[in-house]
Amino acid sequence: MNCCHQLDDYLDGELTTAEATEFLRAAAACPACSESLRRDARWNKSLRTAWSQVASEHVMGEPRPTRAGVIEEVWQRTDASEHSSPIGRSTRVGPGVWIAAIVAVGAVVLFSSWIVTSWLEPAAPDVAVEPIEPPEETSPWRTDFTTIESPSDVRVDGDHIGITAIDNDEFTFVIVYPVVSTGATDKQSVH
Amino acid sequence: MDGDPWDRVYRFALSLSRHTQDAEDLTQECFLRINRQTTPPEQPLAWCFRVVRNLWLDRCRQREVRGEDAGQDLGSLSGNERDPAVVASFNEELTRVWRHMMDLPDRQREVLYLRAIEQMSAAEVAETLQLSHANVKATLSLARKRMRETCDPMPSEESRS
Repeated sequence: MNCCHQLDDYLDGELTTAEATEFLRAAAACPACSESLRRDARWNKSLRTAWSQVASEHVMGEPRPTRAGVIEEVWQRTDASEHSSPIGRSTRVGPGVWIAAIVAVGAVVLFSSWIVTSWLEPAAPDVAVEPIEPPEETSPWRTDFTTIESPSDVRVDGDHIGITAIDNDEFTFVIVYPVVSTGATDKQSVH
Repeated sequence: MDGDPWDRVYRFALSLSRHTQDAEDLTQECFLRINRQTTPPEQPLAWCFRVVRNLWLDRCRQREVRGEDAGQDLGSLSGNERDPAVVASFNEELTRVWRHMMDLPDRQREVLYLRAIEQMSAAEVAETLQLSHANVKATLSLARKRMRETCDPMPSEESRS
């Protein structure tokens, strides 16, 4: 039967009105579906009757409140305690609160005395600190060379002038200066 | 099912634990927690059901760690030894159906309770128990099938059992 696969959807209330009507019409002609519906209705009714008779005996060891919504009462109580003035509210302080308060006060006193002591008696440095020498300033330019002042060691090549030099390791190299338009040479502009 | 929210939470707790003392404890703990909430949940009852279920699962785990029975072993008891206070007022038919439901596997029992007794939709049950919709539908189908077979057996089913 086509209706059998829709039985659970019908019982779960997931069919539209039209689909449910069509299912019931088909189920009426289907022995399996009509038997399931009959038996479901029977145990469902018994189960609901049974559960409706079940009630809790106690509410936190106190007499049951009236049948007013307990949850709503809880919200109202929470809301009232958040927004009302503390004046006029009864406050019961248990021994745990007193112990916590005493411990907290003791901690504050100890911490304050430690702060005052360390402030009045600055601790002597127990480690000798050697002054740190500033790093030597190093020039980006090489200065450990001597130019060879001989006309033959100065060569002009287009926009550059090359001067032959020799360093402390007797390594010979050529310093190239660009020729700028003013005619002056600027060491900083050497590339 | 309409009624006092306390009783509704208690009944759900009873359907999970199958034991009146556990159900009382779970309900009290749930309402203590709801009392500590600074902002009320949008759906207080669904919130309570979820809290009760989580509390019950925690309690089962703790009992397992201690080597105790996670739930009450009702299978070893019979008749009025199992739930004397609850079924005292029931007639034979109600007692029989009640016990068939209590004998369902845990998941089937909680899903069936929310659908059949609390009249929640399958989607609401899924949200409350944090299960998938398909899982709830499949579990409900199994639970109904078993209730049909045990509560009102066909002659052939009766002879088999």
